[in-house]
Amino acid sequence: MGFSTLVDLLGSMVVGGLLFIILLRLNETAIQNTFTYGSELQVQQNLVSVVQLIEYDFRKIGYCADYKKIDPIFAIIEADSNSITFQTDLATPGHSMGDGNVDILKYYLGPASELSGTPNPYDRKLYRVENNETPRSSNLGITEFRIVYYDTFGDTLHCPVVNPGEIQTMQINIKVENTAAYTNIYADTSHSQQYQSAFWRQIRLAARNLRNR
Amino acid sequence: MGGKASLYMVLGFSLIFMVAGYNFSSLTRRAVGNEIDYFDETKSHDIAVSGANMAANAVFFDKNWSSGYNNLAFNGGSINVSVSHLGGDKVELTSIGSYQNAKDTIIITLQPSSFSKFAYYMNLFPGNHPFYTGDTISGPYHTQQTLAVKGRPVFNGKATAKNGLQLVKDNPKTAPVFNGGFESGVDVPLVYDPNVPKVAAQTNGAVFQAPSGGKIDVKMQFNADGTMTFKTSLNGGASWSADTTVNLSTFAPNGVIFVDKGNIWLQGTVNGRYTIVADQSSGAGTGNVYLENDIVYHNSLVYNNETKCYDVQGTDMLGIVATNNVIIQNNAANQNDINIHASIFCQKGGLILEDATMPPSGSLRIVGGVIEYQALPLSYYDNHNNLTNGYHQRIFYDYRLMDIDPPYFPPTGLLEVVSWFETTYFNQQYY
Repeated sequence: MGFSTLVDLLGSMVVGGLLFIILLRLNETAIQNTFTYGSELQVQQNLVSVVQLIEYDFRKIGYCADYKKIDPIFAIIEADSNSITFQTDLATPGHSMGDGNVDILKYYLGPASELSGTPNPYDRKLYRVENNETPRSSNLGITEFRIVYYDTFGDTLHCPVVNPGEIQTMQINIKVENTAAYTNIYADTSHSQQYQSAFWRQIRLAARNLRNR
Repeated sequence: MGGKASLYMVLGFSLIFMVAGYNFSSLTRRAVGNEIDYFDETKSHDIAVSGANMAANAVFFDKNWSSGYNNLAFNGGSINVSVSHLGGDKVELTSIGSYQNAKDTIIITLQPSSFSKFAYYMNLFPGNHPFYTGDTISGPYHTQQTLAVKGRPVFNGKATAKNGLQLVKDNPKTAPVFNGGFESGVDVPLVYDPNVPKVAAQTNGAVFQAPSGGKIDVKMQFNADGTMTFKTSLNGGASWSADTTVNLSTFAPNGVIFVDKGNIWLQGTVNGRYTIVADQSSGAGTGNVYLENDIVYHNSLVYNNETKCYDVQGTDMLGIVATNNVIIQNNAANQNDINIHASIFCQKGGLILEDATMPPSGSLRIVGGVIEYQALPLSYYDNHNNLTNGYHQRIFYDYRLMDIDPPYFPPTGLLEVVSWFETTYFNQQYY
């Protein structure tokens, strides 16, 4: 009776221990999956937010409510692979189509060192500057913001573009990663396996006002 | 006891899996929703752009088109276009593209264009003389034929050609610079109705007309004080009337000075906005403008480093309209540079030298534009690239002509897109 009870007890402990280990592993996996899927969603949301803003601004390159104030040829002021400065007419309160005054808008990618506090070593801030005001940005996990410029023949223009007036279309590449990854202690994973990422490419963005007149 | 524990365990695990499963499916649902939402936005935008293009096409064919589109089914969504005819014959098109719950709006403005907007218009392109390295067209350019280029000429405005682009072989490879882009298949025929400026001149301008209905020639000298000194000759005779000086603000209030069946001899300093028209009777004996000396603005000019052209510091503007040619005379004044501040329009001819054997005469500087039926040489060089006859020529586009034209300057009869506004639809459902 005493021995049998002991065996039962030991057996129960072994089975219970196994179940507990399974439960812990299950919990670990559930947390990891939740983090991973949540990160993927966050990355996707961040990407969509950035893309919407960029599409909204870039489609209005060379636009001005008072079109006599802008010449499409001089609409792009500076063009480099990860920065661009252009003329546009930003919406203001009461003037959703712009107030008729030419604004200068600049996008540029900050250095990776600026976000050294985040676990992701490659994330950078994408800055948006209106009329030489204080640059504005938030950390959306952008690791790539690259623009390729094309002339009227579809040939690639070297960056920085010497004559921005030559630009007729552009390709925009944006990659967003999550700023922190779930560290899998059981596997030696690479950066791309740890950090969820989403990539968006506008193959040919043609700001229509560049082709006016 | 053991059965109960098992039941609790199964129920507990089931609960955990249900919660985790719901969480995962929620994440997936939101991610898919996000993607669909962006797809809807993009699709509605594309539909709106299509609607705008279709409407613009309809307006190009019929300037009075105003029916628009009402819930036109298109690519799984719908298009609504409204048309507003604004003052100055401008047209505003508002295109709304709808797809699922997303809507996007495009608003474009079109306005009538004038030939004066061109820095250089060639109806006939000189086949054996492509634009070459060193040539710079400082504003909008158009030809009704094929634009031929060799080397690296620069076009600082939008360049268009009806029959495309010919890249003439060269070493290094021909690579023209189009700073305003190039578009092929654009048809802007050189049409001109002289009755329009004639009626304007008869109404509120000035008309020179021979009493007998014959030929009349007019020598005009614009003066910096806003007056003009002129004299006339009838039927090609050698005798000229005495000089008469008139105040242009009362002589031609709307700025149109029309010579009905005759030629104009022109020089001076322009103060104000005017268009002079030399209309022909028949043949090449009339409808010409002869440049006797500089014809310049009284407003000062300032060189603009951005446009590489001159900005006119005022409202002075001149249109020279000739049914035939605008001819640079071979005289002492013109043999030492010539400055022309005007937009020049030649319906059947071009800007030409009176005498192709005239000596090397310095620089021909135009601040404005040239619109001509046929481009003819104004410069002749020897094998060492030395000027032997004519001028070193340079056209500095007057950028005001992009939006303003001399009074009653010939219109193209076409509309051009001057503004294209796009919105982006933001659906916050999944964010």
